[in-house]
Amino acid sequence: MSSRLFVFILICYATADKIEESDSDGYKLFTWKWEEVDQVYLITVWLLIAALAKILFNLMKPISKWLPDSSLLIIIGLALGWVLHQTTLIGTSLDSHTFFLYLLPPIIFDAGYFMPNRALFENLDSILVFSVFGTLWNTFAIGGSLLLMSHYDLFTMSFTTFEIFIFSSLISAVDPVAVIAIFEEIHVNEFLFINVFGEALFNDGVTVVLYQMFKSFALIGSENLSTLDYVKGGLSFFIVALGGAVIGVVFAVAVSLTTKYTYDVRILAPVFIFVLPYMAYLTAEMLSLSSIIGIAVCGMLMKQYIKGNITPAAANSVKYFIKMLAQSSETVIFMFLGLSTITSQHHFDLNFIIATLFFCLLYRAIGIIVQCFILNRFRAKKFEVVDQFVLSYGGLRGAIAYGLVVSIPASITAKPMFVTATIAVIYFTVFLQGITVRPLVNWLKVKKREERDATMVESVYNKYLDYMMSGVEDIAGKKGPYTLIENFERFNAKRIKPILMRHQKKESFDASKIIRAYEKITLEDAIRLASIKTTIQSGRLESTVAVHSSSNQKTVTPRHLQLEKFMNSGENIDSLYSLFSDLLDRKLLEMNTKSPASEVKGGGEDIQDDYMTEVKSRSNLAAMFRSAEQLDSDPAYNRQRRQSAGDLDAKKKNDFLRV
Amino acid sequence: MGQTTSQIPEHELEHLSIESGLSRGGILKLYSRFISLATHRDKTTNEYFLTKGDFQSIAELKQNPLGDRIIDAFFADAEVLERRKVYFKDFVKVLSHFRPINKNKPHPWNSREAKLRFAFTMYDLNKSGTITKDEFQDILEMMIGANVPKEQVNSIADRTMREADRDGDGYITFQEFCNAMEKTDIEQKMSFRFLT
Repeated sequence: MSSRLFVFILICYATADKIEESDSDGYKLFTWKWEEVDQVYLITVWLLIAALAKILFNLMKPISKWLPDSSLLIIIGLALGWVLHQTTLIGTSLDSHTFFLYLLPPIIFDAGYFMPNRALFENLDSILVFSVFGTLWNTFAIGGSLLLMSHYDLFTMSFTTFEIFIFSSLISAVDPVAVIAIFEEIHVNEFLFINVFGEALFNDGVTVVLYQMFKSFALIGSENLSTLDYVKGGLSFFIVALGGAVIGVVFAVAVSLTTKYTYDVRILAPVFIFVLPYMAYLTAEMLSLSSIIGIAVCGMLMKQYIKGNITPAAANSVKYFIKMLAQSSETVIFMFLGLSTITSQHHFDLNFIIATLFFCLLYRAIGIIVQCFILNRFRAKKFEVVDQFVLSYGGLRGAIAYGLVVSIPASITAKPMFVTATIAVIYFTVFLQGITVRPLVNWLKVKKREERDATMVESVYNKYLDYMMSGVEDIAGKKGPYTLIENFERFNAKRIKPILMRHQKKESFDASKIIRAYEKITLEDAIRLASIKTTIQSGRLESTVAVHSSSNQKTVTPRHLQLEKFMNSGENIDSLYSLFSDLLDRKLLEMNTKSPASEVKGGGEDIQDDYMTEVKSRSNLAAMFRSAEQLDSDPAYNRQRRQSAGDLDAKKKNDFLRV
Repeated sequence: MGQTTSQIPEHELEHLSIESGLSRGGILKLYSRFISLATHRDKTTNEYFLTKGDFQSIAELKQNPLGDRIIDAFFADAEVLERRKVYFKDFVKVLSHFRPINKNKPHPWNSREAKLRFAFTMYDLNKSGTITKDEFQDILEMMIGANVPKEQVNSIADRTMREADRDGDGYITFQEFCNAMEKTDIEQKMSFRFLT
């Protein structure tokens, strides 16, 4: 048996080729031990390719400006798949098992963990309406229309009613992965994002139920079904969705409780933070409940409690790691989608594809318009026409639909046709909608996300407005949203937090958010001012150099301009210095006088030295500058100060900085 | 405490509706709330009015750290302050600040500026037209003071004042307040959808 080059060998966890060992006598210096590492090796190679691809895109600036990352990844997947197909190496398609168990959870967990809870609750009504009624409407409308068309023999393959409804249930679901991938790059405002994304997340409850329901119905056969079965199908909505949420809550509590007691083994805290939500996902899967809702709810809930239980360093590492996992998964998913296109069993039926596409777009638009019309009657913040347009356009389909379609039982004859149509819709979504959404959003002048750093003023005023509104609600005698929020926060602070967090006294009002905001902002300012100082210093040096060598002129000019801007900005260097030292003194004073009871963060060494404890121990400005300069050269911090086109996108950056 | 037999005379209902921008239904709902809270009646005009005591008897308000400030806001108007009675029209006027903004029918009482001004008067304890650092600190202390050491409250107040006080004169004027809030969606935050 000849050996093969392992240039592009793919993940294939059951069918990797084995290489026979050659029998020769004597002691071997070097043996080929492929079988021992094959699976793991393949996985690592795959990840490497995906990551390299991402780097490549960021280098190809002109292309990546108008083509979203997800489409580029699919193209690479396509290319790879074609190469493999030609060389007849064993190809593999995106195994739905791998997808649902390994690739999807990190992305959903990332989404849940970084979800702006407040925005979610303010829009909960619209999100629930969209995810439940919207999905139901889409499923039945698309399925019904396709069924109608099939009666006129317009399609090459036939299917039963239930079979087409299986298809329409999976094709009508908005996909969270695709929404994140595309919307995040265009930085649309939070209100729109939370509505589309919230819908994408929670419609899983509906989609999974419909899909399973129709699949069982199809297998049972329509003759054998009774009304009881239909009723049971309807009930399963609530059970699946709520059950998933309950599991999420249970595991969120588990995480908080365990991290509460990890003070002495601090390094282990992140283990719980990752493992338990994953278990929530698996448990929900095991019980046939909505695993997506489970892990998302878990991530949403546990955030505020674990913040008080782990050190800031650990919290940062956790954030970073979650982002990393989610990004890699997303990359791999899209690449696999491209790959699977080549290797799936296709049946190309143009009529069916076009019909599906058309109905998807049409019914989504109709659904959104009708739902917004009804919702606008009950909401303070109304959906404008532009909002409705973006919402309809944001109905992106993605890998979840693909995962579901390939797991349709093969006994359904129309499966290849469905697979092809699903892939076509996904491609349309990712390519066409992905490419056009940015110029459209700009043309329609949709409000972009606020890209500024949070200010102290806003944290304080927001809290203040909450109290004020809740008070006015009381006077007006209505139990409105603010009363609910205040009651929940009071209950939270009084009862739940002391149980789930360390060092929490029973307080009626939770001030920790404002304090955290204050400390974070002070720290940021300190860093920023320190980096200004180094900029000015090096600027001064460079400008003197420029006088002497005109060849350096071009490279120096930007710095020079920056320097001039600072000099002319009304604040001269001295007042900057005094401001800075003022802040620092204050910070130090406060840290020294802080009473131990209110010190929620564990001081002392953790994984690395906490930045502020370094200051406390040395307490001189020189040291401050030195470590700030070190940070300044750290590319991660610098990227936060620049407009970045790739890597930690601004949204991710804001998540990072989010209190 | 319900004396539901009393009704607003029709012309007054009409007048209030036009003046405040609220619908008649909205005003009637507010009226029944007003009546349920009021314990005093004006001898001469037979109108109900609210005193500070009536406000303070609202149970949920007691737990609100800004409770007293909110009550003061109802008495902010100079006339009302003088007579120390809140009549229904005063009640309506204050609450109409929280009506959601209707872009097609703008109204001075629930405009963005009116809402901001209401928020501002709650900070401005002595009605001087500006917020000083001490006033700000008092509010901050009310909100978070119970659990936080005084120096920290001081620093936070300092920091926030520094951010908001653009011209550095030590006072926050209404204009500076508006600027600080310009990125906040006041129209949504300070609106109740049940007020139509």
